[in-house]
Amino acid sequence: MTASVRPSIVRTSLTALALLGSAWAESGVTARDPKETIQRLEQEQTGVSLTGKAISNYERAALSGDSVRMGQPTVENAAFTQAEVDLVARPSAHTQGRLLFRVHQDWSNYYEEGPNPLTARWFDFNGDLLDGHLHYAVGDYRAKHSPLTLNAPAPELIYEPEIFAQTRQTAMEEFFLGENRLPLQGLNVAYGRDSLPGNLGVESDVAVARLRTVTGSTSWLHWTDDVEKLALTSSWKLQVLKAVRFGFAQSYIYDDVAASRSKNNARALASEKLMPMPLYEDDNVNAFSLDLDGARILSGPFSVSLETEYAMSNYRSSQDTLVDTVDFVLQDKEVANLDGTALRSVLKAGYGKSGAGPFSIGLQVGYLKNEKNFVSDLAQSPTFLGRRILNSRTEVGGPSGGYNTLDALYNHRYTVDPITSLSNSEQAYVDAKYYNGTNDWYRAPFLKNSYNFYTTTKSERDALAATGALDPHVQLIFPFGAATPNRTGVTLDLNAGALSGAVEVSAVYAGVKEVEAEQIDSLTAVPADYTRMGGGLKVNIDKLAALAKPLVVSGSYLQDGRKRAAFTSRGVAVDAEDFKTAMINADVHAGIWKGLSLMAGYQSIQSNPRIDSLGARTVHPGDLRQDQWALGLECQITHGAFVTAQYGRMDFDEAVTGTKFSQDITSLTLLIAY
Amino acid sequence: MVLKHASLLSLALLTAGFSETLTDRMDLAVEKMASKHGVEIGGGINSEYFNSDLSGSAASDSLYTYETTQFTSFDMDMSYRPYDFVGARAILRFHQDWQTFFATRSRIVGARWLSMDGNIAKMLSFNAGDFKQKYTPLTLWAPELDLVYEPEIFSSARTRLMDDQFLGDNNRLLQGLNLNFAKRINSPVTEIRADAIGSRIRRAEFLDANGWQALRFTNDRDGDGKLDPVSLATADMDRYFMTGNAEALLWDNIVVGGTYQALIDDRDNFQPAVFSKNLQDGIIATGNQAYLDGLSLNGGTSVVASDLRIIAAHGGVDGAGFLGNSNLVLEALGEYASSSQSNVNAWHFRRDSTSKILFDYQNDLPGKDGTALNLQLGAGYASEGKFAVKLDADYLNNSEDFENPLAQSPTFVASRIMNTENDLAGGRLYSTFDALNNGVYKFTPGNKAAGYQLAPFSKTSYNNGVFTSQEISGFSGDPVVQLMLPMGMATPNRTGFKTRLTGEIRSAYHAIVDFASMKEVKSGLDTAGAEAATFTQMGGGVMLELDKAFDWTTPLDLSASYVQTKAERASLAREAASPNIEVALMQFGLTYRFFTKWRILGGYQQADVKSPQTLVQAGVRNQFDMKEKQTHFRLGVEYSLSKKASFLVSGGLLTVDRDGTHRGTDAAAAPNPALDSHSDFSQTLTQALVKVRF
Repeated sequence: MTASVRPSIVRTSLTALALLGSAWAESGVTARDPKETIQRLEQEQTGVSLTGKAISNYERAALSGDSVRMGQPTVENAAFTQAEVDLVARPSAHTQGRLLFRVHQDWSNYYEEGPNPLTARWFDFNGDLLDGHLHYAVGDYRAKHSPLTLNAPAPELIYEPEIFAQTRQTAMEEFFLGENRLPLQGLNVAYGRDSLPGNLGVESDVAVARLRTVTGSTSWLHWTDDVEKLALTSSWKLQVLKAVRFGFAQSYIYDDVAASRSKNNARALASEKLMPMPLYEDDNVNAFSLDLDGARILSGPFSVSLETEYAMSNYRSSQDTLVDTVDFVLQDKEVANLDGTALRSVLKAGYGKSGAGPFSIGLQVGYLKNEKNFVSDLAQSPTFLGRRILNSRTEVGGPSGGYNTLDALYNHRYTVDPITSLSNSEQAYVDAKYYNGTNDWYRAPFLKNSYNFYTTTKSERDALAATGALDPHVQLIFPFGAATPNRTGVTLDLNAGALSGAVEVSAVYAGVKEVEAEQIDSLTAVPADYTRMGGGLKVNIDKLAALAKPLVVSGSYLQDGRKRAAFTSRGVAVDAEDFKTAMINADVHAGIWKGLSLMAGYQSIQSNPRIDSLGARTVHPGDLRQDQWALGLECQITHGAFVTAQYGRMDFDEAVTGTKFSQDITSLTLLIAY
Repeated sequence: MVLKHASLLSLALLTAGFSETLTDRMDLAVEKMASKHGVEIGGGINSEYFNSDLSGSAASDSLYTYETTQFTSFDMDMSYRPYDFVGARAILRFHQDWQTFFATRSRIVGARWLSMDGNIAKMLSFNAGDFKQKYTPLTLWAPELDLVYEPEIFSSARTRLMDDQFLGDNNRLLQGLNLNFAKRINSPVTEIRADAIGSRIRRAEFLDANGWQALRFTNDRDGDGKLDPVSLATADMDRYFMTGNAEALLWDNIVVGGTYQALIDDRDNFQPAVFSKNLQDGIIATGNQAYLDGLSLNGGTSVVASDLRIIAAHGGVDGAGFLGNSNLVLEALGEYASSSQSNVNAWHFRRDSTSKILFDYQNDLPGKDGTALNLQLGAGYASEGKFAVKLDADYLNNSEDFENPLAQSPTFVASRIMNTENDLAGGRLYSTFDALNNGVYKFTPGNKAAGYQLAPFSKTSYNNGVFTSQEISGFSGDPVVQLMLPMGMATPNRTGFKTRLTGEIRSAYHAIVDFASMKEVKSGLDTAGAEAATFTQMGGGVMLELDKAFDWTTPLDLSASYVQTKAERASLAREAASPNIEVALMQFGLTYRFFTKWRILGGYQQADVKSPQTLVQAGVRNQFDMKEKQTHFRLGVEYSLSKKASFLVSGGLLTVDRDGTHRGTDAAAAPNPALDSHSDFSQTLTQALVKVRF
């Protein structure tokens, strides 16, 4: 239980969804809860409404430590006012258009600076037909079908401290992430009816989206991609007697070769001077599911259900090749054609209702077998790709180059800056004294954020894994979510509650291994074993002691591990690997007086990452500790208006290389939601 | 009682908050009206056609001699108050140039103002984001031009340009957090006030060296005949401003207060230029290592960081309030401020004999300390409806080292506005009246030219930014309007007095008489070895509201003013031309509502300037006596569409005549009449303007 209600666009939208049923053009079944009357009244209200939030924030991140390169800035400041305006135009009871735009002002103004641009972040037109059973959305929407077909995987943490969870939520909301729903742009149509004759129910959801387009530009500032990529996904479910559900889901991703070539400069590609030939990657996934719900059979507090999904994928990649140098004729030649399958089955059993009654317990046992060649772009694209956020302009020595998992997880920066030769430069360093025809008058938003909603291809995910772009501290076992290829094994989740949810306990276990050996640096390795074990405890002391103000403490421990035996490949011997990463979370948040709340959090990640000091073949386990703590005071001025002051510190300490640096973070925030 | 007289106090000490007194904010009725929930949308629409046709010997025949700006812009002022005492405000501008069909980037949609404002318990008001605030002329103040009886056709144009920069009423525009606290109490201390600000006034930013932002021009300081570049936008590190101000009112007629301010450069934020080793090696190998020279991202070879602290105290008494006489004006105000610069650190770039790049770092360099004193006396009498007379006298004594950018940064930084493509924004076509009255929000050069590329930028002389120390020390202003006090009452290196006598009869006849005499505190700052300069200003003006004088039904106002300002000192031996500057500014205005909704507006301005000029020609510094006559005439007809909407059509002519008489060189050569120069130009101006406010 939170000490105070923090509004957010995503949470607000989900709340609005529950009430309105069409706010964010969610896919899925129309609402069936008792607030239908309110929903109908609000739907019938026409006109224009304005909601949103305004934030003023000052944050200072000070970097220190022996590993920080001298002569570089050690402080990064953020100071801004930002307003998000959510404009809903409702011409009729069953249709609405929604525009979410942002106005951002970094302190200070420059003196004749150009206009501060408005950024349109979300735009859709949606509505209901057939008495509310058919919902459609054109433009932006968020969708989720199943973990193997359409899903947005994100790092999962147990009992994450509230003071950090809020910042992570804010960072994810920049990309409209949450609840594993993937933001897409196109057309979404959903139909649902759960009371057909014969005790039948149907649900269907069709989503058409354009994932990528080609601009033809070679400047990174205007780069999108070099292929025209389209997606067609659907989910169909038939429910019988409210106990059995048969389902079929598919996702087809198709690269339009002709359209891509027409936008790319064929002659430029043919000369291969500007860019390599584009790689076309098509991905088709078909999945069948069977869900059994024992609610019809069992009575009382017992519950049992079984969800099973079996998916088959076909991945085909091809690349343009110049077959006629005189007439510049291009032909796409096949590079790879892979078939794969994935099986996922989850048995859930429980007693009691979570958060109610004297006792409740829930057990979830899962089995998965995902082949190495199972490819499902819309379910495997990671939404977290860690990068340096705070003090990123400053060089830091050591194996991670200044990267800190906790910084990547929880921080983000958004600024609006002039487009100059520096920001427009294609150089990584500040080499740019190149003048790119800018005049400092145009300003554009710049973002540092580890989260994203981009659909990746198999070749891109392979490159992410090979180059170490995935963070093993939070993406070790299932870096691409439940659809991660080349995994088989068992997962276990246990949740128990007592005293009407005053005490919560959870435990997790996973025993997973690779189905086949991976290729590591062109060597054929042996399959690795992955384990996960951990748990957490959360106590709402205010409920136990009947306090007037909330007082919650929680803690958790989670350890992931990867073991790979030593192997020899192509005459090269590679040592065994035993990588472990353990995360500790501790959280306290308490209401003090009226609207004043105190929040405190601590996190620590201890791991032994490989130190490549003598080349990739030789493994030297490191001794890395990354931790952070923060203290925050939050004052609720009135409903939806908060002032928050926060101080915290992040530490990075790698004992083998002697890499040490710290970041002190101070922030002051005023937030008004309306 | 003292609050009633607040508007008469030239220091406006008792004013705080966003363009309204705290009394207004605390007034229950006003607060209730302003506290209504929901969205308020206001704003304005402007549509304008403005053309300037250039001719004359100073104009270049091979470059554009005309400039037209034609646009429609819509300013939407949205205020949202979800709760009684807190709200958010955003001003959005939609700008559309009529002549850009397919250049979609030119259709500007931008946010100009963003703030969160509130008032808690009718005692503590706050602003976060953009806000405007002033304290006193030596602490937090935005000095503005004071033109005596400026014709309305010109003052309305200037007001529009200043509104674009959120200037007015001497309020300083800042971004950050602003707190104002006030509480009435029943004791000899009738009210206590406390204010605090935390603001970032500079953000470390790299801007292209040859972009417009980095190439703003200001006066010719080095005397080479060209306006000098002053970068007002680039910064190598963040700079913060924090202040606290406290005041107490005693018996409602005495005010005492104190202010503490700190401006701090964030040294840890300084980003030196960093080059990749590959590029560095490659460039050194080609022998072009000069390309790598420079220290900061903005190409500077030296960067100086410092902290500045200002401590000030002020007090005032309203004698008429004690006497209980509402017709009498008898007030005295005084303010003393001291500035202290500390923690001065400097980074310098240099190369050693082997071309190795080195950075020198100096810390704890000596800073400069200064003081400023400002005394005001106001005395007068007003008989309601009959006559009023008032004498305002100011005495100031500001040392040469007194520095406070928050009070000294000028709001008028003269710039070339119209026909800039003919002189590439140089000084050849500069005119005070063009800088004062014209402005272009979005100008796109028609041709690639030095100083700016084919990208839009704004042209305006009005500045809402805060200068750095270097910019303040290098600023002298336009002598026509900023000769005596270019930075207002906080101008450093000035001591003396100025007086103003105002009178009116029957609210119909108005007159102003000005006299001022000042001198530099320390000599030789502008010119080594020179004596301290003295400044004198005398003049005045009259305004007649003939409709009130003769009980006419149609308003007819006539105004005229003449102000002469001089800066004088003894010549040095090496100065062939007289170092004295003489300026005479004359203005005539006419406003006549000849029919219900129709008005004629006319105005004439003339500036006669005598000043020295140094031109470097073939390596020789030639000295000239410059005589310049600038005229500006405008006549317009205005139709009031409604109370808040009007349509104006006007035409006019701006002329500049310059004669330079050669007096010799720095090397004491004799005058050479062959070097005498004459140049002139004129701009024919036509304008059609629709203004709507809602």
